[in-house]
Amino acid sequence: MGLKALSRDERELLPRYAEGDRAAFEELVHRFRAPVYGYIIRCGVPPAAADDLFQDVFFSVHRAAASYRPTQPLKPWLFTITANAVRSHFRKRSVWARVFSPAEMAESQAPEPGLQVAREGAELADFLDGHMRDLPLKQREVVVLCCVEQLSLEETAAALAMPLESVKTNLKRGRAALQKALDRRDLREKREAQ
Amino acid sequence: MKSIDDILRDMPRHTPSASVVAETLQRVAEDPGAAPLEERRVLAMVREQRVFARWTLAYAFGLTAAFVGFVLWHTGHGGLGDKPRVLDGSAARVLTSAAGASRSANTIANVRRYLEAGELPPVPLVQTDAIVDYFQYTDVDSEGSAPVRVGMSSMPAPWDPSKKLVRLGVVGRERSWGEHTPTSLAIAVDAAAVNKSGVTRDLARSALGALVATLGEQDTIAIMDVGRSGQMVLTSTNGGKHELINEALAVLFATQRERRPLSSEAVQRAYQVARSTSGFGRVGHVLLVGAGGMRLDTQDLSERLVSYVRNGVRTSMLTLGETTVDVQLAELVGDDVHADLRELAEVREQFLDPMMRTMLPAARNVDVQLLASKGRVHPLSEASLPQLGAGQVMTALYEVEGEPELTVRIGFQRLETGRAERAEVAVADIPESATDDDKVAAAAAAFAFALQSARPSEAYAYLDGAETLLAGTRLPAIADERDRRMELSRMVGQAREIICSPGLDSPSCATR
Repeated sequence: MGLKALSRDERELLPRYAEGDRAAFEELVHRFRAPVYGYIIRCGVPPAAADDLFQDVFFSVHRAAASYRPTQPLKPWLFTITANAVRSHFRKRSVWARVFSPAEMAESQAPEPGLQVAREGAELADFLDGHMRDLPLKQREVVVLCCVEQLSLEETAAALAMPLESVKTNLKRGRAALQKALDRRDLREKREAQ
Repeated sequence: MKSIDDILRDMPRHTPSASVVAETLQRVAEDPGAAPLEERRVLAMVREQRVFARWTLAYAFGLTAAFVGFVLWHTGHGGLGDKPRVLDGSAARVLTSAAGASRSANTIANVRRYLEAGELPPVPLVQTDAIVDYFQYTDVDSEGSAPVRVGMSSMPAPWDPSKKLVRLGVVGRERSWGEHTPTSLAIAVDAAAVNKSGVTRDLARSALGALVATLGEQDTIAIMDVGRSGQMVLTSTNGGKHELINEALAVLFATQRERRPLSSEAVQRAYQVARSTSGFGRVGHVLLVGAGGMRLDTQDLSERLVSYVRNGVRTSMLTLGETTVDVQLAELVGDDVHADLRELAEVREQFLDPMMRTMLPAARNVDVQLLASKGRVHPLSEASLPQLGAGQVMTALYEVEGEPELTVRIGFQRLETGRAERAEVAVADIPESATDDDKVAAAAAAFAFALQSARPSEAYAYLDGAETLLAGTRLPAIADERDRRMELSRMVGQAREIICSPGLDSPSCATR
């Protein structure tokens, strides 16, 4: 199946669901569970909270299914909802949750429980993952969508509701910061080897 | 050695556990709001162009804000604050913001309808900024010659007294209605659809009658029935001839006709009329009025109409009762007014006021931000509008940690010259008090967060916070059901009732 055909197929999932085909929604969740979950984690949401946020994203998708039109590319649409959920998480966590549900906050900041991360190249990935979480949220969002999820600049701009120029700037800065961290790491390793 | 892009592209996938996926699917299957899918589809179709593009944007409000202290600002005319640095127009960022003038009223109307039907609104329809924006804030100074002015106030954050909740407001310069942009209005009415029900006919008659009353001699108006191959009901006429125009409307609404699809030819003719009578400072404006289903019959037509819009003809839409609008029509309307009326009480708020703001702008592409030297400002909502009407206010809320050096950054485009201007003003001192307006703004944000919450316990906590804040404000001496603060209080109560309904599991409800 060619890329184009696959893309068209993806776009039909939500209209099918809106028509009552529940299997289409299951397929959608299975097909996009990794990109969505990966985005949430790489944007710095603690894993305990990430599970809830993952559910929230697909719950929102379910409720917004009728508003999706197959003329729109699905992935940026989905990432708009995901990015919104992540931003909302940080916003709410920083303000309301502190007061109203301190227990939940403590839980959401708990250490990572059993992430199913493939271990191939895990060391370098862990290193970059760690540094990615140190980036400002805007840079993190752009780097994950453009570099990890391979969305185009235009799709990323649409998904994040960000001007194209800002996407380019954030991408450049984010990539440069990660490159710098990698360079420092290489230098350190070389010195240690000597 | 692999490049950074290669490494990032090949990063291992994070996947949720199977139980999380299963719980997600179960939660969706058990959603009590899943049943009226068709109803949501109708709303979504009407709103889709507005909602989707703006989900993640935090935008502007139309408040009349009360500010304890002012950082008055304007360019080139001096002011109470320091004279700002006016940046080069090229520095202005391109705004992707696209909030329609009636966005707040539309958002609240949708939220209200859902709550009154005993249902929580779908999350995408709940826009924090639009909800905060809707509630009126009372003391703003829009006098003076500056196109826009900025006000600022703060209060200790209700959730953490060590932090501040800062409210910024931008108000458009007041102008008299006589200064409104001369308009060449072409009203295209699907009369057969509108006249099919007495309710929609009365809504249309009331809304258009109110609009006609605002027109002056500098305007022109043409009316046509787009359900009948573009039959002209009133050829282009001086807008000051109210009696003649109202007679034409009476004829239009008096006749029952067989329902036909929107005539492409007729819709196009409305644009031709608006275009041909515009120019020399007069703006072409098409107002599409319909009920039931509004669809353009060909893609080709849609493309031709878009070319009119690109050439400066504005499009607004008035839909009456339960109406579905196709994507092409929604695209034509874009950032302009789309009023969706269900009740007569909504005519002024949802239709007339936004239309008047469109015709009487103060500045374009207005946005405001609060910046801190040490990154200790957290926006709860930000403000940006493609067009700020005279006297219209937009508001942004921020949480500020500690005592950082704050800067207000504002950008806008002048109407007269089209020049983009941007300025930054350092804030020497934030006036601090907990005014009623500050509390209402915080309560409105909490209400929006509650409606966006996935967990009932969390939603309930936000509603609790909103109620506490509202309880600390003075309500009108005489109870007025239409007072917006009372409306907020009522909606908070309705949301609580729904969240605590027997079908939903909420420990917070049980312990209350």
